[in-house]
Amino acid sequence: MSIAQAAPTGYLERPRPSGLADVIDIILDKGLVIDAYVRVSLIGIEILTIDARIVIASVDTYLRFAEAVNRLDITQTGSSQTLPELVDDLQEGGAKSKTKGALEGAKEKVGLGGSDDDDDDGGSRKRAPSRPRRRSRDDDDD
Amino acid sequence: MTEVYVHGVLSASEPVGETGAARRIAHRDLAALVTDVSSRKATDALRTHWRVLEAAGASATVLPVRFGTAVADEQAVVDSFLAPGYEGLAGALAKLAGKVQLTVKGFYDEESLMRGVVKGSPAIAQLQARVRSVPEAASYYERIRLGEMVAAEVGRARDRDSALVLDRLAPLAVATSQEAPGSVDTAVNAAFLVERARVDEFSAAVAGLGDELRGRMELRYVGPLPPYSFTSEDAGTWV
Amino acid sequence: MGLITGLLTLPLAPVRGTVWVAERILEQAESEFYDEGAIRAQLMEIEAAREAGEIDEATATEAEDVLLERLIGRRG
Repeated sequence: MSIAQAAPTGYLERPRPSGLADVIDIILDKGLVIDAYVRVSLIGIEILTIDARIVIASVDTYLRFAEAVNRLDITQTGSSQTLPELVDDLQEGGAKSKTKGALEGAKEKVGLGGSDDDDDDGGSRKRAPSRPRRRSRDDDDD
Repeated sequence: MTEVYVHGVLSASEPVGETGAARRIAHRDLAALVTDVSSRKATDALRTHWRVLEAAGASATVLPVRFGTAVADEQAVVDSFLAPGYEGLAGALAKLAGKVQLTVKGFYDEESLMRGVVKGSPAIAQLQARVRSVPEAASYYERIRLGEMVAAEVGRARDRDSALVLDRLAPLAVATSQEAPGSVDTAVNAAFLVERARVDEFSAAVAGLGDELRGRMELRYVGPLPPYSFTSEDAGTWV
Repeated sequence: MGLITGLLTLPLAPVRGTVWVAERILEQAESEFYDEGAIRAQLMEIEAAREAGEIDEATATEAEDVLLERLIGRRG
């Protein structure tokens, strides 16, 4: 594991300066709203508020959650596999066929070659559930 | 050509520090931070807004204004904003003086989350086993049902974990604001308004939580921030 | 595309009824949610790469701009 793991919560002893990614949600959603009649908003701010509970109440979401739980190696539920072994299994079985790493996608967007990023830095983690492939027409269920 | 973006409001008596290229428009003892509208690119405007607030907020209490707010000209900043809003703005600044926003987010480790879900529910474990034992095409409805059950468990886990974090940290803060999850693997997303003098104590509590929650989720602890989450209509819970 | 616009362009399926329609609306709201979450996740990955020195500032900014346009545009 990476060096970051050696001092596990050292990174929490002080608040970190924010990157744009950390504050993008509150920059867009929060802050004083000047009375509408005087505000000349050059960027329309019509925010679609999404209740997380509503989000999970659809077939597509359920299939994603089923996918996520099925990524678990069945032998590990209550077994004695070590964590590194579990991680290896997950990376082998799941990672390639699922969505590309976000950085890969972003890199490709700006015309950089993608190399295989290893999941070995302290900051990266498997997020649940992964963004699935786009639904094609064939996937439209009945 | 005279249109200006309005980024934030601060006390005019704050020393003129770094303001990220914004200038001040004063009215009585308040000042608004503004920049000319020079580029119509949304991303330029966003970066400028962020930079201005980060720079000014480093040394002063600044009330963030909603991104994208622009007014006709500098006079309008006074006539339409600072003057009519004076009482509210001055009051808000007084409330926020000497305090900073600290944001705590937690993101689930997928594997740990799914293992916990399966372990906690024999019904899920059974259904998972059944789904695995048939070809995917044959298990469509079971997978939906399985996913539905898992989703419900994840929602409950999020509620519990958010409550755990809030219970631990809210007592150390002047105000809290629980934010919408933002992504499906969010375990907690909360903003805290903390007195500067108590930041170290607050950080120690966050580090302690990080230890307790390690493996299940990763915490991301960010700040000090301008008090974005405490300057909107829905302005958090005040002690 | 607004929710109302989306509703008006849904193919008519009389036998499905309101549940099917409601699901399509939810899916659209949900895909926006997932997209926003995915965009934010990608922004965080870029930040991590930047901090780790894996990519230079220009690259990071360029990649961010692509994502930010989508994020801001989505809310317009």
